[in-house]
Order: sequence, then structure tokens, then C-alpha cells
Amino acid sequence: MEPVIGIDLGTTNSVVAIVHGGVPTVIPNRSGYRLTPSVVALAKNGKRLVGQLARRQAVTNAERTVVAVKRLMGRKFSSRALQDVLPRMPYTVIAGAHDDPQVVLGDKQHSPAELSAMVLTELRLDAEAFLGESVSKAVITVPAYFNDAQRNATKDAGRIAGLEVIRIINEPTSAALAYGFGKSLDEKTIAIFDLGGGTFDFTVLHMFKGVFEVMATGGDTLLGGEDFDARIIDWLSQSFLEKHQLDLRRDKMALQRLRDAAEKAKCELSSMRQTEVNLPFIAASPTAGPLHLQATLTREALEQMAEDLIQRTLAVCANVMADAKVHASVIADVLLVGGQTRMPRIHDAVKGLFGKEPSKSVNPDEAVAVGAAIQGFSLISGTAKEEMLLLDVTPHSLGIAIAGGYFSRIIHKNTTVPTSAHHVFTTVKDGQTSAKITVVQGENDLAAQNELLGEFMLSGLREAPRGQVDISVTFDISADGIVSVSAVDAQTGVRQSITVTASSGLTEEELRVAAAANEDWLLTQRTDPEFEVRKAEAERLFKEFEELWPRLAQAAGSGLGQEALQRAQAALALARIQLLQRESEGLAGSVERLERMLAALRGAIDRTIETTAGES
Amino acid sequence: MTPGEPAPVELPEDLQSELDALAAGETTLSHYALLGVAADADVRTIRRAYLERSRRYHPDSWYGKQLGRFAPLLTRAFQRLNRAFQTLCEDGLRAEYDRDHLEKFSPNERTQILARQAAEADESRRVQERRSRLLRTKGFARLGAARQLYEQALQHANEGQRGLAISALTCARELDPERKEIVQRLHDLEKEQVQLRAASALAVARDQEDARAWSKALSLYATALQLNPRVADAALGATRCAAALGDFAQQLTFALRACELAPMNLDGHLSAARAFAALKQKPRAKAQLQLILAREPHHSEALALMKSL
Ligand SMILES: Nc1ncnc2c1ncn2[C@@H]1O[C@H](COP(=O)(O)OP(=O)(O)O)[C@@H](O)[C@H]1O
Ligand SMILES: [Mg+2]
Repeated sequence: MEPVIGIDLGTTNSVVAIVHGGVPTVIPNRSGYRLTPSVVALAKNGKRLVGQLARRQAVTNAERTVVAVKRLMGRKFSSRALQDVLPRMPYTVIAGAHDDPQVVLGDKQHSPAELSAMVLTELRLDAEAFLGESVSKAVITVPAYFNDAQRNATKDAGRIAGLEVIRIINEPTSAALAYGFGKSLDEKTIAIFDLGGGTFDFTVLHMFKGVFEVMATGGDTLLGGEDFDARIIDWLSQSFLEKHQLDLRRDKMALQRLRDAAEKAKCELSSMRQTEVNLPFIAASPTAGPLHLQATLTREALEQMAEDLIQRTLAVCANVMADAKVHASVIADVLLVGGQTRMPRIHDAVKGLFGKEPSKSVNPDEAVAVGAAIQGFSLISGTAKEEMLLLDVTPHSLGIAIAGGYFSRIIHKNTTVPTSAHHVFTTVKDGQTSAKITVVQGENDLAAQNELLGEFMLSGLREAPRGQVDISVTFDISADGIVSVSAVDAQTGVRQSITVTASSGLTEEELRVAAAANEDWLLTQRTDPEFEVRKAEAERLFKEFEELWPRLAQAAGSGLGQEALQRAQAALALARIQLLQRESEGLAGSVERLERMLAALRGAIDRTIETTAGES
Repeated sequence: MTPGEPAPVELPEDLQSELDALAAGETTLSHYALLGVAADADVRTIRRAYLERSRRYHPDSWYGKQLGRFAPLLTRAFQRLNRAFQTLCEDGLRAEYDRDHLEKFSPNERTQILARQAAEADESRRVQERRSRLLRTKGFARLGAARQLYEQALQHANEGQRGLAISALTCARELDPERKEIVQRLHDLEKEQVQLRAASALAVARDQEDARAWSKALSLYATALQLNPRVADAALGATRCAAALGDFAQQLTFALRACELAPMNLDGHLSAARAFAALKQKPRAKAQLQLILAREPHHSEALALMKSL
């Protein structure tokens, strides 16, 4: 069976997982970490960097480091949603040909989908290195509140990365799958509280015999860990401003250092009561020379600064439970997902709301990716009877703009998908041969306040007096949450042609070009999987030797032959050279030899210790 | 397999015939029969049946299989299942469904429904009695009793029995008027109840309008508007149906109502203008048309009507 990877493409961090031998497993990246920062950078030497490497150089290269690109996905450049987040971005974003945002990196421009594709490609390579085979299918997760355009942009990103996205699923539902996997099939209602770096999501879900029914979902797209960081940044820079009359937020480099320090302090306060922020040489004053920032932050102070943010999450929970028509007391388990839920105050707030300890059974960073892997596995393994089945809902109402600029709902939010609905349009003029339909998604009664999905032109209508031609338009929402529209003449049954006249997505041609460019890049990166396995083994051995070294040196003084040590050192040096020169065969031999030496040396140490112990 | 020949369908035989039967019985099969539950089943049973049946009809259960002509049938079956579940797990909608379809049910189902209604009436009478006893409690015990009722109400609400939940909360409020959560929850539930009824009336009204059953649609739109007086859509629907029926007085009433609720919506003004014109109140008709033309100077229908006046 072809492997299907599950990818949590996060705003801050991404994770890739797979069901391997029946067991869901998180795949570590090639640097050995389970989380890959969703960061892409163009290094000073022109190289593309993704993940940890990109994140590490962000301070010195802020303008060419792309973070949180997920916030741009599927947005129009001129939209409020985009204009609101732009001031927070350290990099430059300009308007593209169809009002789409384009990120400027050096002398090139990239669409958000292309940048996300770079992260996906990285994860794909990690998975290939881990599995030792090529990977071309994936399930990718999106926040439940993502609208059609954002889901399509995510699918596009997958396509550019050369992945067939067999399903887009919602992050909270995915986390629930991870929770439910291999559990007894008890019937119960659970809730998922997901507070990540940039967004908040809350979902109520009912499970019975492996079927997961989403009862309601909701969230806040502009509420996450970054807001907590921002509070600390403001507090730090405000006191600095008062002391030195200098606003650190105006200096890009200083701001990036502040950001890192604020986040670090925040995370430390999840396990400690108090922490220090130390930023030497953060600025220079014309009179006083170099300036340093030094401050002490307590957990209580942070909690006070962030209390309103926490209250906002609780308000969302209350709304969603009302939508689901359940009361907090019937929720059997609350899962905490997202890095920010590690904050103790959040844990307490959730406990207060539900009157019980949140569940500890899923890992807040990994559950989403693990669930996606489970969904991928469930879909393609094709044993419908035992696998898990998701009954997810559409998070937004779907409808059309009608006369006077009003929004007429055709499919209501929280309707189970896949679903479809039809609406009959009647011609309003004699001999009318075409009609424009504006499709929007959202909850506002004014169409313009909602997200525009597209404008469709119905053309070639039968010529007849007005009111005589009824066009039945069908709106479909797939299990991915993606919308499609089709139309037939209700009287004659003739299919009407529909053309999309406005959309922020990439054109077919743009997609093809981007995918081809990525494929070229991939070829230069894709390494011999066999070599990757040997490399990982060699690296593990290097580490083990390193850890053993002090004890070896000690033992060498008392009985262990110097010669054995020198031989080991020589073998290690050889392996390192083979690694650098990618000599796969040679490396295989070295790995074997090192393995033997390690076992022999360990034995020798144990013996020396025994004898010394016996002597004393 | 020779090229051009359709791939064989990879669905179990029994499901294939089931889907065909479903498509044939599109209008006759009751929600209960579709879910495979008795007409007196409780919400818990219905939800379980829905989740189990979903496995059979949800397209994901047959992912990657050749479905041929059954693909749309499967999706439709799943959507019907959804609709049946949504209707039956909400006591207001269910009662309405039972009432509207009584003649379509099998004799067996009819008996079950009547039995269920009797049992429900019985149960609610017993509950009422128990509650009136509770209401006579004195002193501190009142608070405990209120708490107990509150818990019961949550249970009812969770089972979709909003009516019972509301009556339990009403009692609880009487016992302990100070408890904020009781008052709040009661208020929420009552609001939900009304909105839900309005929404369901509106939805049925639209279906009826689509089917050109104007007078039925008109009365449903009017009901929706009565339940939730802020829904411009209901007023607009009502004026459209009244126009189709040639009932100009009603057309006018609802048109003016629509204009009030959604002053920017030109359809309301146009309908009002037409009704005024039909009722021979030319100046008023013109005033409405001027409102439209001020906003959309090229509005063809407004221009045409203006000319004819
Ligand atoms: N120990 C911690 N305490 C508080 N916040 C944390 C901790 N660890 C991570 N975070 C925060 O969690 C956020 C990232 O969460 P994550 O779930 O990875 O985000 P996303 O889903 O947006 O990619 C960041 O804002 C980070 O600062
Ligand atoms: Mg996340």
C-alpha cells in the first residue's frame, strides 16, 4: 500500500506523521526534531532555507525570512483580513496580478501557496528519508474556520509540492482522531481547545463506534500565542521607552530580538514562576552609548497582561457549545491542542469552564498531524467496516448576493459535509441570456461583509420573456470543505456553462509552472534513501561514542588498551569523511565496524569497572 | 477489460439494490425507516442509528472504489440521512415532521408515533406533578431542588428535548430566582426555541414557494415573521407569494414590512410600488419608485412601471 503522510501545516510549526505498521508515528525531520518551524528564508548566499535553519537566522535576516505565511493563504491583497496582518510581518508583501498577495524575497516574488509548498516539500523529503521510499500522497490539515479560498490555496500548495492531497481535514477533528485511535468505542462527547501561534479553534464532537460527528465548531482567526508575545513585547518596550526615550519596536532587528526573547520568557513561565529577560546591546543612544535591556517577569504579571485574551477564548467556547446545543457538563473529555495551551493559566481556565481536568492523552504539538495520518490510512486502506469515519461540518454559511447587496444563505454553517443545495434563479428581463451569480461565505447579512468566493457567469440562456427561464444552480461542498457550483435550465434540463470571473487563486498555468520549478529543486535535494538511513545510523553512533568518551578515557587509564581507543578514533574520522563525500557503500562498512567497536568498548568498560570495584 | 467499457462497480450487491430502492422511494420512505429506527425511538437511539448508518452511506467509506452510476446515489443517500437526523433530533422539528407526514407513515409507524405522543404527554404530566411538589418545598431545600431541576434541564437540552428543558428551568427559576445560570440558560433556550421555529418555518416556506404552493408558502412566511420579527427574508418571501396570489393588500403589508427591515433592499420597494399601483394609489407608488431610482437610476423594472403610471 502506498504510504500516505499526514501533515499539520501550522502557522508557527509543522509536523508530519504516518501510520507505520498500524501505529501512528511522528516523523522526525532530518535534523532530528519532531516540529519543523513553518519558516522559509532566502539566505544571504542565495540558498533556500526551510525549518530550523531558516528560523535560526531570522534575527540577522528578518526581511528575507518568511514566517506565518499561513495567514496570507487564500486571501486577497486588498482584503481587510490581509491588511490587518501585514503590519505584523517583517517581510514585504505586494499585490500580484489578480489582487493576490506576493511575498518579495530578494529579486523574486512568491505566492503564499508556493512558500507553503516549500515547507511541504521539506516535510515530504523528511518523510522520504525516514521511510526510505518516495511519498506522493498526503492528507493536510487546515483550521476548521478556513474558507473555500483558503482550502483551495492549501490544496494548491500540496500540488506545487508534488503531493496528491487526497483530503483536506480540519485540525480539531484531526486531533480527535488521534485521541480516538485504538480507544474503546464508547459513546461520548468531547471538545477540542486548540490555541496555536496565531489562531484559536474550538470544536465539539460526538464519537460512537469509530464514527466522529462534529457537532459544532468555531474560533477566532486573530487570537494565538503571538498575541501573548505581543503583550510582553509591549510591556518590555514601553518601560524601555520610558527609561531611554527610545522605541525598540521601530528597529526591525531589535524587534526580532524582542520577539524571540518574549516568546522564550513566555514559554519559560509555563514551567517557572519567574524569569529574566536579558538583551544586551539592544540599541545605541547618541548620548549614552550602547543600551541593554534587562527585566524580570513573573507568571502572575504575564497572566494579568493576557487575561482578556483568555477570556476571549472562553467566550468562543460558550458560543460553540450553544451551537452544538450541549452544556459544558456533558463534555466527557477536553483535549488541549497547540503550543500555547501549555500555559498553566489556560489549563486552569479550561478546567474552570468544564469542571474537570483537561485530557492528557494527546500530545498538544503532534495530535493534529497524527490524526491526519490516521485519516489518510483509513481512507486508502479501504476496510470501511473497521476504520474511523469523520462526519465533519462546514464552518461558514454559503450563499449568494441578492438585490440590495443582501446575503441569502443557501447552506447553513455547521451543516455536515458532503452536502449540496440548489437555488432557482429566474430571469428578470425579457430575452435575458446571461446572469451573474456572486457566491459568498460568511455570517453577515450584508454580502459585502462576507468572503467573496467567486463570481460566476451563467451564459447562453434560452431566450424567452422574463420569468420564463428558471435556472437551477447547485452548490456542492465536498468532504474537503471545497465548494463547487453547477447549473441546469430547470425546464429543459440543459446544462448551463459557468465561468469563474473572480477568484484569488492561482491559474492552472501558474500552478503548473510552480510545480515544475519545485520538482527541479526537489531533484537536487532528493537523496538516495539508502544513504539517508546509513547517515542517520552513523550520526547515532557518533553521538553514542561522544557520550561514552569520558568513561572510555577514564577506563583507558586503568586497563583498557590505548590502542583500542586510537582505532576507534580512526574509524570515526573515516566515517565522517565518508559522510561528507556521500560514499554510501563505504559508510555502510564503517557503520558496521563502529557498531562492533562500540559493543566491544562497552564490554571492556564494564569489565574494568568490575575489576576496579573488586580491587578496592 | 476493453477500453471504453465502464469499470465494474465495487459496491456490495445489497448496497447497490438498497441505493436503487432509496432513489425510487425518494419521497415515500419516512425518516424513521431511513434511519432504521422505530417511530417512538428516543434521541439517543436515533443518533446512534445515524452514526452507524453513516458508515454505509458516507462516500468516504467507499473511498477509491469504482462507484459508477452509484456515486451520486450514495451522496444523495447520505444527505437524506443527514436531513432525517437533523429533523428527528430536535423535538420541535420532529413534532412538526410527525404532524405533516402522518398520512404517509406506515400503520405501524403511526401507532408508534401516537403511542410516543401519549407517553410524552404522560411523562410531561408526571414531571409537572413532581415539579409542583418540588415547588412546595420550603427553606434551604428549595435551593437543592432548584439545582436538581437545573441538572435535569441540562440533560433534557442535551437530548434535544428543549420543551422539557424549558419547563424544568422555569420551575427551577421559581425555586431559586437568584441563580444567574438558571435565568441565563432559560433565556438562551427560549430564544433558541423561537429562532429555531422561525428558521424552520422559513425553510419550509422556501420549499413551498419553490413548488409554487403560494398560499401555503405565504402563511409559513407570515408565521416565520411573527416568531422572529427581524427576518427581512420572511417579509420579502411573503410579499412575493402574495403578489403571485394577486392579494395586493397583503402584498403591500409585507412589502412595507420588508422595506422597514431592510431599507436597502430594492425588491421590497418594488413590490410596494406594484401593490400601490394595483390599489390605484399612484402618488405613493411613484414615491416608492423614486426611492429605487435614486439609488439605481437605470433600474429597468422601476423605469417601466414609472412610465406606465
Ligand atoms: N511551553 C509553552 N508555553 C507557552 N506557550 C508555548 C509553549 N510552547 C510553545 N508555545 C507557543 O505555542 C505557539 C505555537 O503553537 P503551535 O501549536 O505550534 O502553533 P501553530 O498551530 O500555529 O503552528 C507559539 O506561540 C509558542 O510561543
Ligand atoms: Mg496548530
